[in-house]
This record gives sequence, C-alpha cells and structure tokens, in this order.
Amino acid sequence: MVMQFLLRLFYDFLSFLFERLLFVSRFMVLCMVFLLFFFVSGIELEAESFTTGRIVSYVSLVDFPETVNAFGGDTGSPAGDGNLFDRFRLIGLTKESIIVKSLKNQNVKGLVELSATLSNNLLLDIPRAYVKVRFPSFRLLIGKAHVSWGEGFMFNSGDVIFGGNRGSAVISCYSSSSSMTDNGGFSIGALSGENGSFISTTWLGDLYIPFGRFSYAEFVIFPYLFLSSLNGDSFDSIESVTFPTLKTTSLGMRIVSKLWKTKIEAGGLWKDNNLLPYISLQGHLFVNWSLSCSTRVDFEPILNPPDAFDDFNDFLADSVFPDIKENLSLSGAIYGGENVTPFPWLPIGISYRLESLIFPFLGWNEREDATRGLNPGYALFMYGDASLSFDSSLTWFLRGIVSPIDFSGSFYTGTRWSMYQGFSMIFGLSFQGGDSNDVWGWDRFGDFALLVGCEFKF
Amino acid sequence: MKDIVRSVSIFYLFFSLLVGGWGDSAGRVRMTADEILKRMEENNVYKSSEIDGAFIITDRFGFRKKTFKLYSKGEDKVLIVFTNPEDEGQKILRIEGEIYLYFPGAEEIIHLQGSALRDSMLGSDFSYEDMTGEKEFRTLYDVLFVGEENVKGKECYRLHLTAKTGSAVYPVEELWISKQTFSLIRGRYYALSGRPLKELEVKEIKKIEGKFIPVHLIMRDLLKKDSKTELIIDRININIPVDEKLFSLEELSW
Repeated sequence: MVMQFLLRLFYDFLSFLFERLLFVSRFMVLCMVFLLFFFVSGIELEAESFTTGRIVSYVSLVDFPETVNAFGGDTGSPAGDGNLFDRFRLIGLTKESIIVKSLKNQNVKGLVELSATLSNNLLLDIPRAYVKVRFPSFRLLIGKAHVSWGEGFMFNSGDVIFGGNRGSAVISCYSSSSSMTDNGGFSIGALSGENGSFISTTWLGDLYIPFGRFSYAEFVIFPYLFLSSLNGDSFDSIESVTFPTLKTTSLGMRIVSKLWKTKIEAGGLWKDNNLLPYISLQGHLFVNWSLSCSTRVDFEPILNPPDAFDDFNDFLADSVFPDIKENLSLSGAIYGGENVTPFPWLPIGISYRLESLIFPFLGWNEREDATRGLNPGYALFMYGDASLSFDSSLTWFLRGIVSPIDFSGSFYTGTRWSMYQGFSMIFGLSFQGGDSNDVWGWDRFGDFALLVGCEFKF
Repeated sequence: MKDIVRSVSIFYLFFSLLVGGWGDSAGRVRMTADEILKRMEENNVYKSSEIDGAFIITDRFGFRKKTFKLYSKGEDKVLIVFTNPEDEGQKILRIEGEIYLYFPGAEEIIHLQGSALRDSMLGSDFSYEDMTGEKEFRTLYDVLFVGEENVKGKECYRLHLTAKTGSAVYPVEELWISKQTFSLIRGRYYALSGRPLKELEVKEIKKIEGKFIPVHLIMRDLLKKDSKTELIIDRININIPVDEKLFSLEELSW
C-alpha cells in the first residue's frame, strides 16, 4: 500500500511537472514512471535488473562569427566585429541517460534506455528499448535497437542501414556531448563507438541464426512507424493513417563468417525499391585493418520499365548503372594500439585509427560553387583519431576529419582525466579550417570552441 | 672405460646445467626446470573454470574497482564479463589466439590481433594477454634453472624463460615457483632489451580440488609510476561443466 501510494504520488508529481512545465507528452511521463518503478522495485529485486546511469555536463565557449547559427537561421546576435566579447558565447548543457537491463533470465533480455538533454528546456528520448529472446537455434530481437553492420567508426560503407558517412557531423566540443566523451584510460575503447558517438538506433525486428563459433546469418525488418501519423496521442485515429504497402517495407540480411583470420561479411538492404548491397572484410596484417564497399541499385526502372526501348543494355546503362556508380563507396581503416617509452620516465600507451571514405565516381576537384558546410559531392574524406594514455587515468586525444579536395577540416583535441571511479574531467578545444565555401571553415558557427566538462557513470 | 665414464659425466654435468637438474649438497637429485614448469602448469590448467573476481587499480589519484565474471575451458578459451556499473556488459573473448571485445553501449564487436593484445585492459596493469593467454609456458619458452631463493618466507625455485617465438607475451620472464605447492609466487617480465616491464606478486594461494591457485595477486607495470593492480578472486569453481557456446560471437553479442 505504501509503495502504491508513493508511486501514485510520484506519478502525480511528475505528471504535473512535465505536463505543466515542460510540455512533454503523456507517453514520456509514463516512460519516466515506468523507469522510476524499476528504480524503486530494484531495491527489492536487485538480482533481476541492473541499472546504470551516466551524466555529462559541460560548459563551452563558442565562437559566433556571424549572425547565422549552425542551421542557417538568424541568431539575433550582432555580427562579430573582432571584439571577442561580441563574438563568443558561453553555453552549457547536461545530458543524462539511464539504462535498465534485465538480468535473471539467461534466455530473455530486456533493456530500456532513457536519455535526456537538459538546458533551459528538456529533450527526452528513448534511444533503446527492446526484448531479446534466445531459442536453441536462433534468437529474436524486437524493439528499438542498434545493429552494427560493416566495419568502421567514422566511415563505414558497409553500414547500409544507418548510412556509412558519419563524417557529415562536425567534430567539435559544443555540438554534442558525445563528441567529447572520449574513452580515456581505456584506449581500446576508443577504437569502437563505445563513447556513444554516432550510435544510431531504430525500431526493428531482428532474427539471428548462429552456425558455428564465428558465423551467423542475420535478417532484419523495419516496420512502418505510425505514431507520428496519429491525430494527437490517441489510437482512435489509427484508421485515418495511410500505411505503406508491404512492397515498400525495408528489410535486410547479412551473413558473417571467418576465412583464415579474416572476418567476411556480406549482405544487403532492400529499401524504397532500392537494393543496397555491401561487403566488409576485417583482418590483421602488421596492423588491424578493415575494408567495406557498398552501392545502390535502383530497381524502380527495372520494375517499371518504359513500354519500349531499343536495347536492354542501353536501357541499363542509361537508367540503372549511373545510380550504381554514383553511390559506389569504399571505406577503409587501420587501427591498433602500442605501448612506447620515448623517455624512461614517460611510458605512453598509444591507440590510433585512420579511416578514409572514397566515392570513386564523384568529384575529385574542388567546386567553386559549393555551399559552405555541405558536402558538394566530393570523392574523398579522411578521418584520424589518436589517443595517448600517460597512465590509467590521464589521456590526451586528437580527432580530425578532413576533406583533402578542398583542404578543409574539423579537429577536436583534449584531455580526459579519470580522477575517481566512474568520474572524469574533460578539457577540450575544437576548431575548423577552410575557406568560406568549403565543407569546413573558419567563418562559421563553432569554428572555434573551448570546453570544460565532466562525466559520471554510476 | 674410464673415458666413457668421464664422457658420460661431462655430458651429465652439461645437461644438468642446461636444465637445472643437478644434485644438491645432500645428494638429492633436484627436479629439472622443465619438470618444475610442468608442475606449475598443472596448477594453472583446468578443464574449465568459473570465477567471480575484481580488479583494484591504484594510481596516484586513488583506486578504482572493476568486478568481473570469468569463464574458461581448456587452455585457449576464456570469456570475461565485467559487472561493475561503469563497464557493465563489456566482454572479452579469447579464442584461437585472437581477442574479441564487445562494447554494450555501441553494441559492437572489435576483433583484435597483433600488438594490441598487449594493451592495458580497462586501464589496469594487466594486458589482455596477461588475463586471457599463455598457460603453455613450455611450448612458448626455453627454460633455465637459476637457483633457489626465499621469497617472503617461501622457498622457491627461480627459473629464467626465453621466448622461442614472437607469439609469446614477453620475450623474457623470470618466475619464482613455490617448492612446496608449485604455484607461482613472483614473476618478473622483461622486454627483449632486458628492461623489466612488469612484476607480479602472489599474496594468497588456495588449494582447490588438489590444485594450488593464486586468489590474490598484484601486478605492477614497472613503466608506470605509482601504479598497481590487485586481482582478487572471490569465488572459483574448477572442472565444472561450462557450455561450449559461451565461447562464440553469438554469446559475445548476447
């Protein structure tokens, strides 16, 4: 009874808080109560669920050289006239995430992750919420989750689900807290996306069939998400929603195996009458390496060919091959870690990752008519990431993404100091270099930023 | 006949010096270095094991504790699952001489080969190789008997190991092995140049199913100042049924 009363009290309080003050939907409030229930019940059911939290807070000093913001809109601020007090702004943000995992059942797993970005307003999200079930010969996942296809951190041509070029993101210490949360003190972690950067999730159904220790097949299906089409929060209006036909449902499959010491992965995604096939390889030759390749085959002209054409080969050459060439992309990476001792008193652990992304049939020359901040279809991008660990708690890192064709780039360097268990301080500096019509440049929002922040995992 | 006896004696002396099997002052024939190492390996190698343990990493700023569960089968299959809140769900799978890391936040598997295996594991003084590899010393190293020493009240054999191949974790090792239990008491690990890299000290040993197993160890990375990592085993079961499926990519990403 007491528990019920407390829950009711919390529900009412949260409802009032969120509905009146923060204008979030009832759905989100229910999610909060749901998670709160996990927290409260977790005291008694400790063995059945596991809860972790993460808070990242930071303050950034960001350069606003013009009256436009990062999205091209007017900030209402005066243009920078060289006076530092006019040009720079101090901004702050806190990001929280709570993950609740089930523990008890070895064959069923559930996970709910709630994340919030808090400033003078609140942005709530549920990046992950899924159930996994394991049967003797296969397993199923249903819900909102991340699936990792292909190989690569910043550039991954094999990631046909979420897109292989994450380089459109500016690497900075103001745009998202994830960019700054490098895995200091755990250098191998920096080789993965463990820091939360660039991890996209979506609603999906996933069938995983293992065959052997290193081999498996995976089938995914992406259902139509209709909640946003409803009129208000009520399901009463579901009849008015125009659902797409099954023909346009996205689905994909891949097969992963190992030949000698090389991981081989091949598969494809069917989406909007397009087939996106890919292949990825990962192995070791002096260093760890990976290669991925993908393209897009537009089946629309094949499924709906014109009534008459002179030559089928010409038809393919005119209607299908250009799309394949234009979307052909290759990504490659080398990565690893080394321990070096440049001086007897200075042992350093180095981890590094170098990646490149090539669109061989796109532009290899700089375009003068390019729009600043947008990729005008250049053929080559490069990414580098290095971190030096001076001991178990202090790491210096440098990340950079470069467009060699227009000689522009975005860089982020900083120090992560893991002072106490789960707690780290981060000091960062980011800057861009390039001309006014380049992909990255000096003359735009956040071309220079300084950051001081902290992260606590518990 | 005299010549034959002399030849045999010289051969025996030479061989004894090589493998450390000459007699002591009391006339007892000591074990060879190879036999000592074999007895130590018998303590180290089990059909399978399930361990609950913790690392306590200490540096100049204080200490951090990381808890884990470890499953092993045979000599080359190890799975470590971290259970402390900061690293919860991170997994390390060692199989067929390769290491796979699973990061639950990214839901991604990283495949590591080569020198990255010698990188520090979660910022500790242990490397991935230290935790998951190298139980077959005799196949990886040439061994020499150095002598007998008393290490913190324990009578020990001191052995000098030199790597036969580049696949060994350390080019040179020195091991102090208890004469009584044939368990490792102290280890010192060197670079090819002879520079000491790490030092292992065993603080506590327990007898479990006839094997003497270290349950409290301290590893010091000698290149780091004021740094050490304690490995404490809270619970260990050996030679129990462990599902073969644990050592697969399917389990790693589960």
